[in-house]
Amino acid sequence: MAIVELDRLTKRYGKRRGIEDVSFSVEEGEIFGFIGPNGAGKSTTIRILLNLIRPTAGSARVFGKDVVRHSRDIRREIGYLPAEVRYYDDMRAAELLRYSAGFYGKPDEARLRRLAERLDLDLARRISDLSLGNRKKVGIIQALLHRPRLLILDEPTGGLDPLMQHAFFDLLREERERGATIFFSSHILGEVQRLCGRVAIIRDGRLVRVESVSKLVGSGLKTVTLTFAADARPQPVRDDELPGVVRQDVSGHVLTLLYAGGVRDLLEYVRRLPLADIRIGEPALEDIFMQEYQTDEGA
Amino acid sequence: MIFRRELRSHARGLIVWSLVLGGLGLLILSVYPSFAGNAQTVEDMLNLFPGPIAGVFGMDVLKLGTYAGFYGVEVHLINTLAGSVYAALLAAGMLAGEENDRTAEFLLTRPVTRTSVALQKLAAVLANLFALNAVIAAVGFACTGFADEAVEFDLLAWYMLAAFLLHGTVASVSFLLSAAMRRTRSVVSLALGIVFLSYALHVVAELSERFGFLRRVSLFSFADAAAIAERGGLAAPDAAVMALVSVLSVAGAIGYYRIKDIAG
Repeated sequence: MAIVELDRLTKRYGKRRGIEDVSFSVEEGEIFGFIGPNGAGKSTTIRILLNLIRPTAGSARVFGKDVVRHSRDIRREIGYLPAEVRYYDDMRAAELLRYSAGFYGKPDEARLRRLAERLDLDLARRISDLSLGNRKKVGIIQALLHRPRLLILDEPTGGLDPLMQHAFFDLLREERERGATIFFSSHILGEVQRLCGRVAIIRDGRLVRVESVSKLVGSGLKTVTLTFAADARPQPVRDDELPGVVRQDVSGHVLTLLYAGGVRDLLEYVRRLPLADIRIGEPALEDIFMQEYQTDEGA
Repeated sequence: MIFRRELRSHARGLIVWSLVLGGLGLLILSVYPSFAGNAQTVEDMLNLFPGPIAGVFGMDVLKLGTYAGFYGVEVHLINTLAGSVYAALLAAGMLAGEENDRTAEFLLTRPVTRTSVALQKLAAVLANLFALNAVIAAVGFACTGFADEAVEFDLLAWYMLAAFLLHGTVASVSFLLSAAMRRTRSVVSLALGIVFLSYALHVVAELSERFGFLRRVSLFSFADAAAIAERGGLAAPDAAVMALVSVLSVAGAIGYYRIKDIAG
């Protein structure tokens, strides 16, 4: 069953761009990524799902219910972590979390303490004294505490150090095992890649495509950074030497390739080069978009 | 949930305002016995005031030599004006404050309807106003002990009811602004502006008969002690206007808040 369903969802803010004609759906039990550059319309979409703003046209359903008409019922089973976490400064972390939990029934104190321990958060601190990262932790606990059926996370890792990100991702996997569906926005592909099964890509308010992560990354696009030895000069790669180079850049001793060909060919080719170092990494989100555009134009 | 949280977070302000208004009332009313003792001298002295000025303070109608008259001139004015400022400030922050401080996103993603959010906050405003007015009334009635004569309790009660109605009306209008706008500071400025403008219109109406029609548009004229004393009670049309303005403001506030886009 589709947990989230967008049907030609549109939001216009006067002249400012919102989103236009966005349709996709998220199935039960999925970890679904929602990626796009900043300002692409990710938060706008999420805020419509939570009924913080109303759609201009089109509709959205969560748990099969309309987001405008049945908003309260829907929100009872949603855990939401906003991109920018802001709470009442006069409260302590524990007070805020109990206040929040009170809206869903009786607070589960044991779970509250366990989550705080996992994320290493001091519950006695005042919200106003918390660092950005610690506020984010309060936000995470607030979203998970009532065991929601759907987790909506807007840029969840911003402000978390790598160690905490790890703990957070572990928590998310446990939530998924519990049966929760996770809808997760980010502008960093690597983050989404670690966790999600499928992603929707949005840009300039329009849906670019919905794709499984393995296919998106498995399309083989890689960033290859070749650092040449001090006495050698990098030469541009010719297509007959190594097919599959989408784009290349020379800067001093460094040659950077955006490469879509096979790994064997690549290794065979670089074996002959006077290299000091080599790095093969995932492509930047922008590079994937770039390729999307070229494919679109070619079609 | 929200109601309790609002009561707690506004408790300090309520206590301060109650102490100030209650204390001020007590202080002023404790002077009454010396006024009552020299009623004739006081009347003579007040006759030196130019008529229109005396009219502004209701001294042409109210007798400073009676407890109810003294209360109407001295204490009721402070209660209506300062109490309205309190009501405006309190209601102004209620809905706009959450957007201003960016906590609306937290509150409105809980499983609670916007109508319920607005109603609970409104209930907190009314509870605070009720408490402040209860303190005012307690002081006003307790201080009748200073009076030797038979106090006109019914007139006193009308003043207090009028003040409470006025506060409620100001709060409702301010609440509407709070629902419609996003920045607490703008709401506060506008709400206080309305309070002072309304008071200014009342003063102008009292100063000159030519502008007497302004009484119909100033909330302060509706709660004016002299008018209440003349009629022996709050005029039904005045009370009805205040009630109508309140109900329409609240209905407008809730209606708009239900469909408002919350700023991100």
